[in-house]
Amino acid sequence: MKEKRPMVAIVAVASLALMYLPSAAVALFSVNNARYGLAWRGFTLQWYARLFGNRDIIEAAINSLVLAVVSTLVATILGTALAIGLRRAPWPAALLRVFDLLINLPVVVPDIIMAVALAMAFNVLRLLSSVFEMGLFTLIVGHVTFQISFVTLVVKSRLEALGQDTDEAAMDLYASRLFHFRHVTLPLILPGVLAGAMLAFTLSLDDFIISFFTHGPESVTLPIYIYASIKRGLSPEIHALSTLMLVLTTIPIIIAERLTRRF
Amino acid sequence: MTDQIDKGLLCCGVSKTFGNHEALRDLDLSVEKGEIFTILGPSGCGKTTLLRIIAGLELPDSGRIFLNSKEITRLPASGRPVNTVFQSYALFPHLDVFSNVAFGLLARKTPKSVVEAKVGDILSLMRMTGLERRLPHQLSGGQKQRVALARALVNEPELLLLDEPMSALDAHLRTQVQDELRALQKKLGTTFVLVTHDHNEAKMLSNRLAVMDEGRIIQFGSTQQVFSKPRNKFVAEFLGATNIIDASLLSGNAYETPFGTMDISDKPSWDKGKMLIWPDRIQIHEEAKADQHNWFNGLVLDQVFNGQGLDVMLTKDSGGVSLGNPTLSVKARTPKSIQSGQKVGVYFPPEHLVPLDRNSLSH
Repeated sequence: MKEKRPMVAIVAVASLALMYLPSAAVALFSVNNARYGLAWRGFTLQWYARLFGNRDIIEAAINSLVLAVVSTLVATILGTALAIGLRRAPWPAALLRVFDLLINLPVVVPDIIMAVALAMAFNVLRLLSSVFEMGLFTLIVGHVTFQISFVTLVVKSRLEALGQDTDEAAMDLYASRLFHFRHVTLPLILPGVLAGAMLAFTLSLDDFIISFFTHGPESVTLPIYIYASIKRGLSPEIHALSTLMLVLTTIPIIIAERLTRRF
Repeated sequence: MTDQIDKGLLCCGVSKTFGNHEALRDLDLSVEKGEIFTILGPSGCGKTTLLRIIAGLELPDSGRIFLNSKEITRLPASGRPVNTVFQSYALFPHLDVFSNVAFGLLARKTPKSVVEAKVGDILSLMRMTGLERRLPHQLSGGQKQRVALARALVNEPELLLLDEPMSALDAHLRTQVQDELRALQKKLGTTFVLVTHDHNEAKMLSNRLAVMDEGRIIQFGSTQQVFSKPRNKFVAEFLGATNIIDASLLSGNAYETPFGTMDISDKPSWDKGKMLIWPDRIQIHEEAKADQHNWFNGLVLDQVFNGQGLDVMLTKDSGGVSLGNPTLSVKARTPKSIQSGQKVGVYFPPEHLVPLDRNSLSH
């Protein structure tokens, strides 16, 4: 039986409003037919149309997508391998606890610290090889470093939920390592792997701090472009761009959530 | 031991320690080819560890294991002609019934036509034809178990291991599955080794059994032998015995018990200890023979019809104050009605009093 408690309901609605009003306002202004001011002057999609005419924006969008796709692919493979490796290899229990901590740490370490550390590392490494000049490559490496943790955590929890039963059944039923992985492990963890990938993709797409410290002049991403534009003042194009990004990052999260609910 | 290597399954001196817990202590076991053998013991006695070592899912710290004269101690699970029916069944949740059953054959690169024929045969033997495309979560408990059995047996293993095969089944399914399992084993001739904590399951399924406790085998023998003469109090209680009586030597074969003086045919090695009598071995008569050994006056406390006869709870009638006296349970096959509060004559046949060893751990 639920009690009628108006205060609780009001606080809940107010909290949701606090969370979503800023984004809703941005979305609203992105279709307002006025360059300046807060007054509503009618619906328009012209700001969206103009986005696609702006070469800088298109280039930043391509950079962001390439970065997100490549870093997600790399991080998903490495993160999944890490999760499986942690579970399958006979690690001593004490060492396993250390590994667990090491996987969780990047999730809570402030981005700015990761970013500065990466910038310092690349500054040293580029003395050894020009590959480490700030650009798309350093961006990808930077993103992979923080994405791995998230992928590993999602896949690891999936593996833990599965238990060892099916692994032992596969071994009992003559499966070689490859057969076991292909026909048991991979299909069973696939929802977790895809959910981890979606999460990593979103994180890459909207990352600003790490990108800011590891990008080069030729590899501006969308968040960095937005940041640079805002310094010149807010514009409806930026509202439109922000709204697009909001939608783009929400979709993978919804898919990820669906995937983790399966089985 | 080497002269026994031609046994179906032979475990020699198997030990296994987890941390500081000794799961198995220098355990020896031999199972005949083609029999149903039960390893019976309470949870934590090491029976599941033993099963996992035989399956190859765990390596023993020491000891050797032979299957049909070949040593398999160090073979990986995937290299042994042994298959397991897991307690949880461990069906692959993403594969349908057909693919679950075909798994072991496909893993060994069996040609497709052979796989289809063999899976079809075993599924029809298990009366699962028509359910090939079902996923495990669409099956009932009994069906899941049949798939697990089919998935193991389709590989024609030399040894089938069953871990608590009945524990996940409803009571009414158990008897049916037990019968099916016995019939199946007879038909295939495969050696079955099952572990369980349920003495009824052991009694109904196995030809021979071993009772385990604390990593060792306490008693080993034919099911009938172990059930009629449990060697000590632990085994007796584990097999469901309730009538365990204190006894101390008077003279010759006569012992003093709370129910009077009892003669015992199988003379114990001790002067003071415990003996057992099974409920169906106790005789209830109209009147006790006065002043004769093995007879006493009983008072019926309670009685329940069990389908074939009466389950009677009785105590020694010591004229009025019977409250603190030890009680006995008796399975009376007499069709005569017995009422609560009725006085009866009770007889313990000397040949059915079983002396129990004092030391709990002995081989």
